Amino acid sequence: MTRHAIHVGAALVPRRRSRARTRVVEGLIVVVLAGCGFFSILVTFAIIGVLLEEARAFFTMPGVSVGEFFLTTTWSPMLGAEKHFGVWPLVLGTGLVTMVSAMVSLPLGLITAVFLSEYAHPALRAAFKPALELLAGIPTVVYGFFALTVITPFLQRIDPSVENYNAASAGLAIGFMCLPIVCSLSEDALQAVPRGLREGAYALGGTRFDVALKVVVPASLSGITAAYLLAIARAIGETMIVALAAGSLAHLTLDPRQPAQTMTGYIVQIFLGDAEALGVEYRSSYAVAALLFILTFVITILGNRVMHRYREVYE
Amino acid sequence: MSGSNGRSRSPRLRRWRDRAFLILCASIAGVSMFVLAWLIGEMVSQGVAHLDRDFLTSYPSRRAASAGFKSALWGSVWLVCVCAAVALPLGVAAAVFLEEFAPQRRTWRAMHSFAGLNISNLAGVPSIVYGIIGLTVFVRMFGLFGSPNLSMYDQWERVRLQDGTHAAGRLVEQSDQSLVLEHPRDGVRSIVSAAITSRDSIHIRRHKLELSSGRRLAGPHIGRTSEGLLELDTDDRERVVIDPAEVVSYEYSRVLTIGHPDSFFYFRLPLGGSVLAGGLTLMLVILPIIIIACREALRAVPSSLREGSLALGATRWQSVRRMVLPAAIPGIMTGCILAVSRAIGEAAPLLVVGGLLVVFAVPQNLMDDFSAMPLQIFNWAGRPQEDFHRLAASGILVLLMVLVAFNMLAIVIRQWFHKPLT
Amino acid sequence: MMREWLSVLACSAVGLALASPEGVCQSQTSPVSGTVKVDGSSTVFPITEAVAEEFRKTAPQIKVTVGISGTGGGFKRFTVGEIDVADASRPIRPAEHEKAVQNRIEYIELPVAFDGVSIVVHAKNTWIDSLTLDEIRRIFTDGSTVKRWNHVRPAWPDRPVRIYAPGTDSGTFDYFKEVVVGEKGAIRSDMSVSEDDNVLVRGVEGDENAIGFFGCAYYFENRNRLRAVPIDGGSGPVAPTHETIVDGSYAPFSRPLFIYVNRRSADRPDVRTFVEFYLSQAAELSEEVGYVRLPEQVYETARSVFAARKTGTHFLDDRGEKRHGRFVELYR
Repeated sequence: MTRHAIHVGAALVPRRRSRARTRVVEGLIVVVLAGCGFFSILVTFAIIGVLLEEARAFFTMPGVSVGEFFLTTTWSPMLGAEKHFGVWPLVLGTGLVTMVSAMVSLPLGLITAVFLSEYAHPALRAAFKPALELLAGIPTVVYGFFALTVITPFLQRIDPSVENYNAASAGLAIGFMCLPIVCSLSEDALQAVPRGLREGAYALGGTRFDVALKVVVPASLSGITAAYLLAIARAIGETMIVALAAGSLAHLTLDPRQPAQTMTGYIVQIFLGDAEALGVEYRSSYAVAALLFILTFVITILGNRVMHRYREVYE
Repeated sequence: MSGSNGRSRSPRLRRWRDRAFLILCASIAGVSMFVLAWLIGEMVSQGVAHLDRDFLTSYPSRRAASAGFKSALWGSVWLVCVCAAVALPLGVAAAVFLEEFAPQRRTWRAMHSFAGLNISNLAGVPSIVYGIIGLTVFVRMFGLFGSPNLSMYDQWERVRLQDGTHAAGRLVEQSDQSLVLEHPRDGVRSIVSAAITSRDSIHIRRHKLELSSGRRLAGPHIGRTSEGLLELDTDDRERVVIDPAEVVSYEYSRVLTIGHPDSFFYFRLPLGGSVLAGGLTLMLVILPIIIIACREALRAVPSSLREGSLALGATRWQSVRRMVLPAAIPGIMTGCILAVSRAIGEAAPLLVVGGLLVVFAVPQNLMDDFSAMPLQIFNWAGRPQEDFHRLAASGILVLLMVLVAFNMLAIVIRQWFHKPLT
Repeated sequence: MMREWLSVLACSAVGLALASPEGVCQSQTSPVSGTVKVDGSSTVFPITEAVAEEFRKTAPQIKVTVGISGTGGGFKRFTVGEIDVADASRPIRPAEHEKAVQNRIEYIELPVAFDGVSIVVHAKNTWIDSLTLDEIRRIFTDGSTVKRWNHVRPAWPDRPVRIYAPGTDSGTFDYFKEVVVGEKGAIRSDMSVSEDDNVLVRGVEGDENAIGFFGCAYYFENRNRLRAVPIDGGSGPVAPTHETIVDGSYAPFSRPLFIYVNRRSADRPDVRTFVEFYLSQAAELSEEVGYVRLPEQVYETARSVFAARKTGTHFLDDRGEKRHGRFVELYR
């Protein structure tokens, strides 16, 4: 390897005259690469710019006010004699679906991660990993279809009062979709705990249960928190599953057997309905999208910061 | 530890608790496997019936028995190709910059680390938000080029003939043997197809006429009345009737399009709900993923390679290009393949950009309307009839097979290139 | 290294072009080709989809794309010239007509089938034997206090009322609103709403307390899962069947379905061929998907209107106000 490197190096050292030219070319290349690197900042500004501009246009329309948006609880932008733009039914719908999904993905994901990290035989881990990757890689349309055609009838057999479009099926499907995320991120966090801690605990006579629950998990709490936050951000932003299975009734409910419209579900409904209008309903979807973006962005930033912090502690 | 809370614990009790917890963990871990198996099992049982050659080679239909996946499959292929062609170079270049070219000066370094942080945050943005951005930036292009609907403009055909001359006009009739064009000044002309060497479709932004009376008129639309007189819709939204005999000079200005809607290289601005716009939107979705994966791959390359190369007098770019990149290629390729497989399964941004269209054709150029596999599955899944659910399941099987193939490719590459880097 | 990558790129580009099944065609000598863009009502969609599918068999070079944005959504795109044909389950409204005039869009109005808007309930819903127009009004008007079924008739069970309705972009919604609460009225807002009639079917069939309405084709297609409620319009309850829709006794919910064609697009050979095909096949295909064919003379009139490129709507008078009367009399 080093011989190869020397050959390469020797070939790379240019003559004096073309060294200047190399510098110019290299400078250009760095500029191009920098452009690519900073492109993502452009994307972020584009997102913020477009959403805020359209949301501003929405709030300056007659009949719409920021106060009504954030403080009232009726969302009926299209029907009725008056239009109401209180966003809480959509937020609550998102919250309900996310809550159901969190009840599935967070505990199950963590325990699976503990199993893989502390208990499982390396061969079993090697078999598990690709299966989890597969679960994570399944497109969300498939989960949505699964929720609609399999989970909903299954729930209806258990409890006949579950309706054809309900929040529970969507929540469960989203939970299964987020499970691999929680699992892999938690496992990274658990693995990052130094062996010394574990070995010390074992030396003092702890069983695997003791070590796992009393030493490793508490030590990696920040990493696990990061995993939870990122999974929740993912669940909040999920569109296809709720579009297929959760229904389109925007009302205040905490009953998962009923349909519930999430923020993403509403955005899809508007964009499928009409894509060219400039009316209030159309603009309202941008306002909802802006709220959705702010929510997920904040949670993602939080999750990333927590993750950074725990990584620094151990590296 | 055993006496930490004062109670004495018999070793047997603790071992039992350990065993019980193991069983709990294992069974819960098994839940995810069970769900995966359940899901795939359901898809297979519902979908395998329809999965045959006809399914892949026919277009959607109202009758479930004859409906097929062709337009969705090829639409996805086109979209992913456009997406990959843009996202891969952009993503790898960005990753190289962020990993290898950290600046020295403080302000630039702050921007540099902000860019890196920004990418992790962008990875968590819901894909439908990217769809909304794609709609504004790529489909409508901020309204800078007018409306995406070229039907607003008069569409003419322009042909070049064998003798080198051009002819243009509104297409009146078209057959295998000839083309009939109507021109405001030259009237109706029939052109033999055999004499045509090339053909273009153009959109007229404005017609400009000068009459023998000296009057000048201009407007977007021109037509012919039943009496043979010309009818011009002027820019002031008036309609003027003109005798063709009075027309002294005529010229038109075009909307920017290149090529014919049937040709391979047709291009127009703004992009509208086209394959290109859809592919670029998907690019936005997977770009953060590619950058993160490539950065990991570059980080895995031991710094001794870089340092050795730099010590021998190579510049930074030369070291990257000749030493680091080749070493990181397997990781980069794996990351790119996984990111592209994510793009194949995305539906929400495409719903916003292209709409839920029923398309009975394969895209022929970058400006065509598109369908995609996830969208077609979404369409079929939404119908209440059981037959369409089975179709959706078949579509899902095709989609999953494509994804598994991609994943296999990534695994193979990982194994193949697994050379220890000393 | 660079050269290899470039050649790979070039080869894949060529490969993609060749692999694309329709191939690269520079249509110098091919027959009529082009793209026809259709969008609009999800009620009319099954007919248009069927026509587009059959049309593809006779003219595979002409690409037809069909969207489901709703009648209102379709008109919004149509009146700015974005699409060639708009599916509509109601006639064009004065405001939309104005917009078209403003944008110098002339249109040709063509009816294609009859529909009977069916009010449906769950298959196991046994208590609703019929509904009078008055009861429908009470249930659906904005501000309605009818929250449970025994508010409608005391004999009915004390169960919640769940409504599934098309959205405001839907011509079905507009038509229903006009019939039930009038042009100036409003429909209640606590309903599950979707532009996609399939979603509504699904919603009603899964909830015993549900009621919904949509085009009759969607009812006939799902007859084993739903029950259509006979409507008492003043002369006894009438259920929506083929016969009652044709002779108009299923009142007031029988209505014609339309397509609107952009006059400028109609001059293009591809659009013209498609519309002529549509008009020739509409009778048969509309019945196949579950609607009711119009009397043959109406189709004749439609064909001659299209051939003569007669623009404008038959349902608004010169002042832009709605004309009233029987459909067969108005459209001639």
